[in-house]
Amino acid sequence: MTAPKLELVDLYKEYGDGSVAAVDGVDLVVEAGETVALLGPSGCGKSSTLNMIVGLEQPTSGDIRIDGKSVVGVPPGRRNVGLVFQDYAVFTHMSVRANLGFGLSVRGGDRQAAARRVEEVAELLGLTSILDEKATRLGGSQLQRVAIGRTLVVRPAVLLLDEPLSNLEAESRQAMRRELRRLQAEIGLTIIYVTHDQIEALSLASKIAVMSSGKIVQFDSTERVYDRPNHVFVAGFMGSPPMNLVRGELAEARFARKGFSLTLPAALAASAQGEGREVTLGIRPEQLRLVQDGAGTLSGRVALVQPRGAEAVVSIETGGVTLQALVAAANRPDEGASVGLAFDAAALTLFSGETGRSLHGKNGLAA
Amino acid sequence: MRAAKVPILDASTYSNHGQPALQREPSAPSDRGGAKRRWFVRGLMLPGQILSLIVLITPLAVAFYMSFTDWAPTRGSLAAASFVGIENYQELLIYDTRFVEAVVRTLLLAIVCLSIEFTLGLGLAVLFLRKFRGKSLAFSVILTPMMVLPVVVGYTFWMLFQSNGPVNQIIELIAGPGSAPEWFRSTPFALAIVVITEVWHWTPLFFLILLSGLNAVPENPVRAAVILGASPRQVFWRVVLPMLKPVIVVAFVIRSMEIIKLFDEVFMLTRGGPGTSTETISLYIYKLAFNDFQLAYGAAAAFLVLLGTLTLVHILLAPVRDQLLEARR
Repeated sequence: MTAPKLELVDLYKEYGDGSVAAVDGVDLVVEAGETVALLGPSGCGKSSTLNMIVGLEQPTSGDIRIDGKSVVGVPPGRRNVGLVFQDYAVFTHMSVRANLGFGLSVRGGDRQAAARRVEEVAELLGLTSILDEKATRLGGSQLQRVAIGRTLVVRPAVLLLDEPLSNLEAESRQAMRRELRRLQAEIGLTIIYVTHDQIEALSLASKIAVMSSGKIVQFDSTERVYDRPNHVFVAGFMGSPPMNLVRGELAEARFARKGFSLTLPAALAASAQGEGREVTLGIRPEQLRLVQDGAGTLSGRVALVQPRGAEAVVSIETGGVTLQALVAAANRPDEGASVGLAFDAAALTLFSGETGRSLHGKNGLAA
Repeated sequence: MRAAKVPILDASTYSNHGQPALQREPSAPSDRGGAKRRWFVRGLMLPGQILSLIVLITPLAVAFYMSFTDWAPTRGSLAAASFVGIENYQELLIYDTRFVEAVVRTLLLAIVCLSIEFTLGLGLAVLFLRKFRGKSLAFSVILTPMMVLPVVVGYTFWMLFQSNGPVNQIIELIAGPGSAPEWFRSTPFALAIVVITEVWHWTPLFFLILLSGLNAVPENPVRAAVILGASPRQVFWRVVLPMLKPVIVVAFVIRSMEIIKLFDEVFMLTRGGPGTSTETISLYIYKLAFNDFQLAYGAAAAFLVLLGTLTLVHILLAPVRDQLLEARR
């Protein structure tokens, strides 16, 4: 059995007086060939985590293992990790060839082998025709490919990309997304994306680690993170618009808050047994269907319609709660109209009002 | 060059594709107001331009004409002087060894001084990238020489190196009486003092320019190099210094223009002596004009220097011209 490519063990990082931990006990295991997105809002500790993995910062405590070996204290250049910066950080005073060859040339060694390796990587990334261009003449996606190639030349065990798509225009973003997936498939790279953009994470990674306040809240496959968030934070962070979340109290199977009440399916209500009465009820906007007034489980008034191309986000006020529903643009109601809301009971998610944890998985209800 | 903004529908965005009317730029304001405004702006600049025409262009034109005559103030007005064509220039370039020597000497002084100033300035600037106690005090102290008048600097160093000055007293204290040299009577020593004075005076300028350049070097390429395995030395020589190139060139351009005009310090220190062995171009032209009253000949020399400086500056700027002129992405 081979060791995981990257392991973070109880990683801590404190700055200044140590009253606040930027990274607060992160555990993460990335197997060879996996693509993982480290996703979180700015200030959640993902950049500190990234810097510790590549060695630009030292952890306060905890361990980082690459290919099973601890790299804490090992200088960045000897860790066998590659990092592609958000702004690419290509050496603008050099040609593309010199950029690609930099990693090998600073290490010394066989020049001819190095030149061959550069050609090889250039071929892989489609840079052969611009090898002798100055880096200042390149556009955004070319710069990014140079930045990726520069790290690939030294064959890193793990490749980290910081916000890889955020500086690209929409068109090249699509192309780069395909390119990264192709690279991953072709050479079996282990890739970690660090991003605050959930769409970037959803489209690039096979697994997502959602971070908040220095902790990993959920680490799971992309689909499960989206469909079965295990924490209110993940639910409210993922999706555009994010999951509708309503705080209230649960008595038996009856979920209630001022002016809003709903009878939950018995199985779902049972999962909350033994918890406090405070819960948060969640449902994805795309799981809400607009129906004739009176025909659905809930009824309300359309407060706002935000069209966005093929779809529209409809905000519906019901019993003092505003819910967002995602509907096809053709079916969007008029503002001020009265509508009914229908949904499958299975689409509902319950979170503990105290800890924010999902109550799924208890009593065998987990999907 | 930027491609026209075309809305592209992407899974990650919800752009309103197919609504080009909304994307169109608002039409440009009519040009009539613009023309009026342009004339107003020109009108504002006119007094300044007239002034510069009177105090700058006219004397320059007069001097340029003068350089083709044999005029001297002892021989009546400039209008009465006879036109000699390029005779002055010929004389200067072919027969006047004192001029040619002054040119070569000034250039050599420039090379030696600028090399030392650059090395010291860069070293100090790199030192200032770190934190240390008393950094802000050291910063002020290092910058001080630059603010002293050149005449004062020249006079101070002249005093320091007098035959019974402080430097010699210290030397005699250590090495015994009679061991101190007569600094200003020996060509190599006199030249060395000129170099020392210049270096002391102008290293702060290199330091200041290079320090601001170093502080502006983007962090990420440096980090990228570190992650790719470059040693601190490799990072400095292969990443930081090349990125600093435009700043270095600008520092060299400013300083070489200044040192070609080197006058005050040499005038105070050696007056060009012993003999003419420390005479710079400026000093020679000054002597031509105000000791020998050969104003026309001096003007020709001055124009040659101007031409030389122009060429030199352009040669220096050539490698970074694109970088400096290129618009920011």
